[in-house]
Amino acid sequence: MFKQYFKQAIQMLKENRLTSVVSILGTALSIAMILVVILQLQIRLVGFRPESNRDRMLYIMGIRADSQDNKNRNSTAMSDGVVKECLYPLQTPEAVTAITSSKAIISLPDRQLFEEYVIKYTDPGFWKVFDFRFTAGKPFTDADFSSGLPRVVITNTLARKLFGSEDPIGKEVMIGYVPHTVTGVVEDPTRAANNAFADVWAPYTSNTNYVNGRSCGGVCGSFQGVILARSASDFEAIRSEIKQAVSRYNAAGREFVLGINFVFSRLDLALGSNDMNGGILRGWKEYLTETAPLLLFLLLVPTLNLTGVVQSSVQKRRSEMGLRKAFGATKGRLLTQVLCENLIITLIGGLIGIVLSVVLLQLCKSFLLTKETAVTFEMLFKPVLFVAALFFTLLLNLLSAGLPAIRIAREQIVDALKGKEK
Amino acid sequence: MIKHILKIIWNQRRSNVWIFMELLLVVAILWVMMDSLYVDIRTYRTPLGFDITNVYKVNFGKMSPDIPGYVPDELHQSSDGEDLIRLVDNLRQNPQVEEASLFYAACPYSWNTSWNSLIQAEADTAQKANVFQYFRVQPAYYDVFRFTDQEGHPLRPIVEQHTGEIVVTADMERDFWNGQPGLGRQVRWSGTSTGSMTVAAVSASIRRTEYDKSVPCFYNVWRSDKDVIDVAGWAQAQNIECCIRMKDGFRAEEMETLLQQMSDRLTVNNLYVSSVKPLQEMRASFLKPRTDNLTKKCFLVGFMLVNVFFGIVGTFWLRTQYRRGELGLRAALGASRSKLKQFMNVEGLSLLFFTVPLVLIFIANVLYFDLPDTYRQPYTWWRFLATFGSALLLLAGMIWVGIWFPARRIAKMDPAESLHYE
Repeated sequence: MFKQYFKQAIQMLKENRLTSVVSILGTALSIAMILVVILQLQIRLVGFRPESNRDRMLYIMGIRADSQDNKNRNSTAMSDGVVKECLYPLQTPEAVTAITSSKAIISLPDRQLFEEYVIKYTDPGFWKVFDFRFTAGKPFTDADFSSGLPRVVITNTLARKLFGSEDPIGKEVMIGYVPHTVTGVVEDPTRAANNAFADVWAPYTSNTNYVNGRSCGGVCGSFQGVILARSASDFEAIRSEIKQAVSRYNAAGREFVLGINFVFSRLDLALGSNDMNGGILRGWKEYLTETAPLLLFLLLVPTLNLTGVVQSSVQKRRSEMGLRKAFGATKGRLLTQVLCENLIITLIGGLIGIVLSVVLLQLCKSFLLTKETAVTFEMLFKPVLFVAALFFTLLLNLLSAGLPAIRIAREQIVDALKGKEK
Repeated sequence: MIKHILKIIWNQRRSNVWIFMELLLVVAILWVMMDSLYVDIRTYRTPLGFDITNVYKVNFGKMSPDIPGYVPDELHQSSDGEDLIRLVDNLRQNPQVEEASLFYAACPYSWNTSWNSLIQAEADTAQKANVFQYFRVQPAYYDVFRFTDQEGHPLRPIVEQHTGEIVVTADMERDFWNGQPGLGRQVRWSGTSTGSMTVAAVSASIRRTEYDKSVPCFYNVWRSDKDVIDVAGWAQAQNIECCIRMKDGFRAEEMETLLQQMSDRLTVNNLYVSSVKPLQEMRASFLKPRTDNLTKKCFLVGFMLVNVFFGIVGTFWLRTQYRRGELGLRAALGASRSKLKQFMNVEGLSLLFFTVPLVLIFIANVLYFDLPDTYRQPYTWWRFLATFGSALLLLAGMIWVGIWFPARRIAKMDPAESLHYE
């Protein structure tokens, strides 16, 4: 039966070339635009190198530091003291890291340069939480970190630019007049991996600005924490362990009280949660209230188009439908037939839509993400994309062909056979 | 003819209703988009008040005592502020540099801003002290950014001819003195402050960015080096901002070589030039969120137009097929081909026309609740006509193009063959 519908649908596609092309293109365009919206979320959500294990990551984006008398309240990030007492001692996670991001001028000992690069000051745990691919050398070690030695890991693009080779291990770069030894070179991370991204990574102990922070009683600083759990089921255990660590930290009776109110999962961040100005936890509800109207609009306009076309083509075949009905086809049968035939169009459109969405994202990268963000195969082709494509294609099919199908199926045989307009 | 077409449209209502609903939705949303684009573009195109082409931001750094090359205090008498002035003189002396200026919290396209209250000194009644954005600048600042007064004369000579430490913008003059000239008047920081300051000049209105409306703001002019040194004392010399204007014809790529050439002159004691960035680049990243938004809106407009095109092509194409008999009969009875084409065009445009009353109700509601942006641009009849008119015209154009395809087919039709279907 379905084979018959399929044949018929293909035949109809051929018969009305222009209408078919228009319907398929319309569907493809709409599905592509919807998928671009989905892809933006997907890139924030799914894992890819060097943040492959995003599904197991937890994030401390900020902290609260309120004075005991509650007159002075701060919404900021962790100091190195907080990191040492609340982040590093955690037992449940597989690895933890503290990161702070800054800009620095990278020069050579014999040549002053003036270009600014992104530098992340961090710790050896960083290389366990994130899976960078080293093309030469290795990360700075625990020993480098604890003695605060000026060591750096740089990207291969920067290595080529500064040294003309990708193997400058042991050579020196100048960061603000201080010589740092290159210990490793990594493949360029994409900017979409915003927690790991930088051009240069150095142990934060090598920069005096980041050690022994005294701001608001030693609580406020500039570090954010990323925690790699052994599995997502450990999240609650880790959150409660952090809570214990915080109350232990506050038991010392400092001038300021530390509060870690939010430990976000990747999903929370992807949906727009943040910890600035007091912090906000955003879930699906908030995300959808913002995005659903756009998706609905992107879906509705082509739906009305398609309905018009389906309506016209069904109208043309009223006598055929009447005949089938006269010979005993049930309402359900005719309904399925119209829906199935239309599904061919929407599915073809959906497939083209997937390809188009990837092309669109690439073309419109400069204003959807940033111009410099490298979009990789691994961040695009995830099950989410295909499931979303299928879902919206089916929805589009149902919305556009549903009404004409019901109408034709319910028509009186006599009217249909006569081809009379009601 | 119109009456006849109305009858046809009514008879075709089953397939027309979908395209009608699509047009209704699209006209309404297109108007919303057009209105917001109108505000953005009108605002964008009004003069900014300053000019940043060929202007570069110079960032400073200060060596810390643990760095090799640090000059200990015993070895130099000058303060950091004096070093800074010498450093900027070095820059200014370069033949490629047209002008250089130091300022604080006054760099365009930056988040670093200062706000303070300012009141008229003459008025003795208790005034409400408003807070305004203000800029601390050297007179050279007006040359670097080519500020003018309201008549378009360069501002710097005017400032230098008159005494006084305050320059107000035209908006501020209007705000304070209701159209009376502000030059030479007295102002005070607040009701409690002793001593008053003189207004040395009135500049043209300035806007913070291309997307913002001009608001009252004022300048505190640093007349002498002592003013700079004072600020360097509390704000730290390396935090004072600096911009240089390069001579016409200078290209951004030449900056690196220029800096290399003067590298020994870019350090004065412990203060050094750390990086130089074109202001155009800062502008692009500062405006990115809003420019991206604008591009996205344009994309959505494009999406709607393409869909209307598809919808019209699809609906009318099938209709010509379905009504071949009727059209053949018309042709046989003497209707010329252009007449047939005209028939279809009028039919399509009537559909669009019918949406107008409903859309007007929608617009009236939107305006009643003051949803459009009336802060940046006032709502005028002209604005209504421009936005609503352009929305309708764009759609009419799309309909006309969409009908062109099916109409061409009719033109090719042989009346005898068409009658065959009747």
